[in-house]
Amino acid sequence: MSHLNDDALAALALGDGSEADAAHTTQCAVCAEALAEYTRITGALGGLDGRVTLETPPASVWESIAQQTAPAAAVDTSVQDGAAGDTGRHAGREATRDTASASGAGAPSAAARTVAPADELAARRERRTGPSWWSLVGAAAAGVVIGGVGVSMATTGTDRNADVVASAPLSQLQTESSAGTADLQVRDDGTQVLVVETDYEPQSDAYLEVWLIDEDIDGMVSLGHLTGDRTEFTLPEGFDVTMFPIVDISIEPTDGVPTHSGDSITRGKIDI
Amino acid sequence: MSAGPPPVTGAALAHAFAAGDHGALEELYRDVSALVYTMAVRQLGSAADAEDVTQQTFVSAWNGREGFDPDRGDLRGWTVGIAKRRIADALAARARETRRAEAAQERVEPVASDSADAVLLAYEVEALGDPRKTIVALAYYEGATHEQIAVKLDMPLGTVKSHLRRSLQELRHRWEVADVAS
Repeated sequence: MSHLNDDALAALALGDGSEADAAHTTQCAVCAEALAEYTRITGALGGLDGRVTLETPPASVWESIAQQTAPAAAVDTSVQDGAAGDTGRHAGREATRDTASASGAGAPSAAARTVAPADELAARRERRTGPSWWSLVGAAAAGVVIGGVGVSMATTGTDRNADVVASAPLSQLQTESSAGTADLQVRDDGTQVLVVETDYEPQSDAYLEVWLIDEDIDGMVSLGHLTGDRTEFTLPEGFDVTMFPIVDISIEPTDGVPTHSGDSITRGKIDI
Repeated sequence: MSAGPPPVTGAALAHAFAAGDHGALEELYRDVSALVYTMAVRQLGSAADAEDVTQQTFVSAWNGREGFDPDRGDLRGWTVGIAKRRIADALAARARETRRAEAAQERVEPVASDSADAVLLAYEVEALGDPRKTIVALAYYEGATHEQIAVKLDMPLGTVKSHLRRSLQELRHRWEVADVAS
C-alpha cells in the first residue's frame, strides 16, 4: 500500500479518518511519523488559549541591528515609528517637520542623492515603512525633482479636443531617469484631465496608484490606478491642480490599506 | 492576537534580502520582530534577554543571508528558525551559569517550556486568514465540535472539515519550515 496523503493524515488527526487509513498508520512507520506530526500540532493547538499578544521590541533593538548591519550609507532608525504609525497621516506630518530640519543640516537629502544603487533601493524601502518616505517627498518639494514645464496647445493626439495646459516630465525615483510625462489637459467642455504616459509594468500582488500631492507635503489626493502605458484621470470639477502639483506613482500592496504605501517609483511636478 | 495577520513575506522581499538589500532587512524586521521578540520573552522570561536574542537573530540572518536560498526557502520561516536556535543558545548559556552558580550539585531544571512554539503556532493560526483562523479558533480555543462550527458559521459540515484539514496541513508546513531552518 502506498503512503497516505496529507489530506488523509490530517483527517486522521482530526478524528475523521477512515478505519483503513488508521490501520495503515499502525503498520507503516513513515505514515505513523507523519501522523505524529499532525497530532503534535493538534495537541499544541489544544494547549493554546489563542490570546497571544505580540509584543514589540523597543526601538533600541532595531538601532543596534542597524548599526551592526548597515552599509556605509546613513542609517534610518525610524522603522519603529513606521511600524507603529504605519498608515498614520499624523505620523507623516510630524516626520516631515523633523526631516525638514534635518535636511536643513544637509544629511538625508545629500545621502539620498549620492549613495550607491543598492542603498538607494534601501532608502526606497524605508519610505514604505512610513515617516522616512516623507523626507524624500520633502526633497522633491525642495527641488530635487524638477518639473520643467512645456506649455503647449492641443498637440498630444487625444481623441477629444483638449488643450494641454501643463506638462510635467516624470522621473523614475530610483534611477532619476526619464519615465514619461503627465499632461494636464482641459477639454472643450472645461473638464480637466491628467494624462499619465509612462512605461507600465504590471506588479505581482500590488498595483500602481497615481496621486497628486501638495507642495507642503501635507495632503494628497488619489486619482486612481495606473492601468497601462497611457492612463487618463478625469479630475473633479473645480479641482485646483496648483494646490496638489506633485504627480506621484506608488506601488500599493493589495492589503486593503487605502493610504499611500510610501513606496513611490515615479514622480514629477506640474508647474502652471 | 492583537498584532493582526502577519504579512506573508513575499518572494520579492526574499530575493532582495538574499541580494543584500538592507532595506529588505528592515522590512523583514518590521514583519517578524514582534513574533521573534514575543517568542523570546515567553521562553526566556526576561525582556533584556529577549532583546538580545532579537538583535542576534536579525544580525545573524543578515550575516548569513548567503546561506538562504530565496527560491527554495521561506524568509519568515528561516528567520524564525534562527530565532529558535538563538533562544536555545540563550537557555543553554543560562543553564551553564546555573550549573556554575550551584557548583554542579543540583540538577539543572530541564527547559521544558515550549511557550515559544505556542507563540509561533498562535501566530501561524492567525496567518491562516479567514475563515480558517476562525474555524481553528472555534475548534481548539473554544472546544467547539465540527458540527457546532458548521451551525455557527452557517457552513456545510464538509466545508468545515475541509478547512480544518487544510489548516493543519498549512500549520504543519509552517512548523517544518521553522524547524528545518533551525
